[in-house]
Amino acid sequence: MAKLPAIPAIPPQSVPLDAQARRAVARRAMRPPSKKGGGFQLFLLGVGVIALAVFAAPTCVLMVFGMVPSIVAYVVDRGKRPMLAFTIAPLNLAGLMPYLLELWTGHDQMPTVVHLLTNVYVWLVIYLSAGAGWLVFMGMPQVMTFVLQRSLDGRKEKLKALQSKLRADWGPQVGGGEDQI
Amino acid sequence: MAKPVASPGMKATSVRLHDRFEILYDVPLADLRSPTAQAFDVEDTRSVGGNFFALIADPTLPPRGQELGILRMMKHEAILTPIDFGPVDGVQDNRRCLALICERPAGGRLVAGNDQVITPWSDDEIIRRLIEPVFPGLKALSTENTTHRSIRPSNILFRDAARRHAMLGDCFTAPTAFDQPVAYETIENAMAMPTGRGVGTVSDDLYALGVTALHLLIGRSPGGGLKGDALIEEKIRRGSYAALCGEHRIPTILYELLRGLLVDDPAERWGIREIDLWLQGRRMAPKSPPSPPRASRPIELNGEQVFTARSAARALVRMGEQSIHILRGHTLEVWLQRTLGHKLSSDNFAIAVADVDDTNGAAGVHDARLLARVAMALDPTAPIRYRGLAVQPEGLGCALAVVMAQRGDLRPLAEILLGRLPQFWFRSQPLQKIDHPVLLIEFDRLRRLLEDHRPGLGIERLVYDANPLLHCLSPLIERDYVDQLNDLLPALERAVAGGMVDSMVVDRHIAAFAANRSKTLDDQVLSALGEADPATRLLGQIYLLALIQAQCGPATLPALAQLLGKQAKPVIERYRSRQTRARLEGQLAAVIAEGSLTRLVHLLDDLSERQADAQRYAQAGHQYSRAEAGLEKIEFERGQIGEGSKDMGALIAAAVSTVVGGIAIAMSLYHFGYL
Repeated sequence: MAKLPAIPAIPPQSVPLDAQARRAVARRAMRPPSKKGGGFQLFLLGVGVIALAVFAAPTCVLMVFGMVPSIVAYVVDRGKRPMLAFTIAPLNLAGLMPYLLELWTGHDQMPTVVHLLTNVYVWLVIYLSAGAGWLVFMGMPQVMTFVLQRSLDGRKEKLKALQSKLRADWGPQVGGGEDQI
Repeated sequence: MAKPVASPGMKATSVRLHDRFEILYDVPLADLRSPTAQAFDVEDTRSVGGNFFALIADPTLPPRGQELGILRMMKHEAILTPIDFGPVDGVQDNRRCLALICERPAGGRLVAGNDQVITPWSDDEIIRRLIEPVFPGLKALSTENTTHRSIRPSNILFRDAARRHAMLGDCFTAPTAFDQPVAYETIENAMAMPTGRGVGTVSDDLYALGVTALHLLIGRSPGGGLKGDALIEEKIRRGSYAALCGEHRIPTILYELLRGLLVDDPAERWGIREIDLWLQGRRMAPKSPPSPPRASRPIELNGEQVFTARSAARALVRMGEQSIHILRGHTLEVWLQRTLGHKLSSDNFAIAVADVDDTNGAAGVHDARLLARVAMALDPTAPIRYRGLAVQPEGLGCALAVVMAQRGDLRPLAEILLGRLPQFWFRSQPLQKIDHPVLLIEFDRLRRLLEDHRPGLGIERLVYDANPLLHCLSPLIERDYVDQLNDLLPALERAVAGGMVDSMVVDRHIAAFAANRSKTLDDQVLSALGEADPATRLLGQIYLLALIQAQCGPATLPALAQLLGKQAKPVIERYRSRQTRARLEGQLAAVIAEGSLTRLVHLLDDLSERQADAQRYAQAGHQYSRAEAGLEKIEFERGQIGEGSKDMGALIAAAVSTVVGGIAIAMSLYHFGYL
């Protein structure tokens, strides 16, 4: 049998990514890198919740239901740091705090919890406070943009004024322009 | 300075020179006037006993500057010498002229004109009344290394009333030998045009003295009625002595003298020493000069049969451009080498043709230069003949001055210098003199001067350099006859005050005149005058005039300061700082009112202020650039603001939320009694 000439192997080529794939890669890249301590923190949180459920079940139930906006914010926030959750949680907790105190100062029993959770105003207060946190989170970049713009405008005005003074003192050619005189 | 005494609106009947000599224009002296100068009676206000008269020179002719100074110092009785001179208001045309005060000769003029027929003098009279009295003067001139060059019967005066002692008349109011008829000039000088005959030598004076003696001896102008070119041809053909004496019988006693003086070869012509010996009674046989080489067979040029190199040169010059094909051919060269057999002529011819192998200039100029060089090669002692001009190298400066004063065409004379024809003339001379190398260097300098077209140099400067006493020929002040730097600014002030100047005061003539007269003038000032930038040009003008004002005065020149000051805006705008400009413009009016150009210069061109201005301008430029970079950075930051404010907003939102939440919690705790 005659020998066939050796066929050179085709080198593996990197296939160019389409736009959709590139966006997917970008999204993946935006996810926070897995941290070594992440699982441990979650474990501690779980232990804390279980301990709380065991020793103060009404408080645990009220907090789990009351802090839902913060938990949701923590879950949906894909940034390196969950700033949305950090913003919503303090106000969410502040909205929840009066009812926790009411629970703690009264009879710390499930019926109180049920009573509170069946009261629409309780829900309204807790979720409005969480909503305020969300509004702060949403509005603050606009406020910052406005402040920074004003700062830049101020600097620009100063530099323009300096240039005008130089032109007045030395003529347009000081900036490389034509001398009109 | 002369001050007219006549009332305004009337022509002055007298003017005063240097506050001493009152020149009486209403007393003209016809017997003492010369062709180029009117003569008037003079009253000496100091009255030291002299009897003076004034010669008012023709202002369109340059006087003999160097000789004037020498003659003034000489004060010889055998020569009319000026006692004082200077510009005065002229008798006509409302222009100033050079006035020369001389001691009035008692005996008047020998003849009114050179063609006047007189009773022939005896040989004894000629010796006693002419030769003996005049010779010491020529001797003195020879000692001073200068010449008279105006010896002719119509310029012979008598110093005594009895008319027994002759003296030489005016030789300084016009260019050298300007009025000399052909008969009284040597062949070479006679070929030159009247304005280009040059200073010459004492030998030329002695030749003229010989012709004058011959005139007196025969009672009429020598030359048998021939004039101009015809007489020159006759002199060339027969020799001066034979051509001038003709058939007249010369007395034995004068024969030797006239033979000696009328020799055409200057080397063989009698000099001061020979005449001195002759007057002492020693009789010498004049040498017969060798006749010029003559060809056995003629060459036909311009329809004439030519036997000598000199005749060939004259024929070629007469042919003009038509002779070029002969020069480029071989006929003439072969004739010179084989038929004439004169090695010097044929060698010179070869050099002349080789020298024009350069291709500088237009074809016409090139051909004219070739013809001039060949003419010099064939007839080395003749003047430079170029495009209808005939000029001795030493007479070039004077010829230029006359043409310039009369607004003629200067190009041919300039081409002579640019074509290095004088240098060729000196190299062609059969007898090299000790001053030739110096003159070669001088002509090279003049040529370089001519090629430098900056104001203050060029042909105008050349004219003033070559004519030391020439007045400034600027149209603005030409009528003022400004011949001294001291008089320049007052004349310009008058011209400006009279509304003759609109903008620039210093023209090329004024710049050249000032550069010639002022030895301290900086070359940079002349360069500034020629700059294209109007500010630099104006500053150059102000600098030049300020230097003269500082050197010669007067202290105030209001009209000039006003004229130059009101144009100073471009100069002030050389400063970049608007504040400096405003300050200078504010001070300008006060400086103009002072009339000091020096102050004007200091105001407009303060070096330290200009340096500081430039330094501050550079700093301002840097500041502006930094501001520009800052603005670009701001725009960049504005583009980045969305991303930054999002991150920072999140952080601040968290912080705000924490603080507000904390406060709310604290309030709740307080409300429930925990705090």
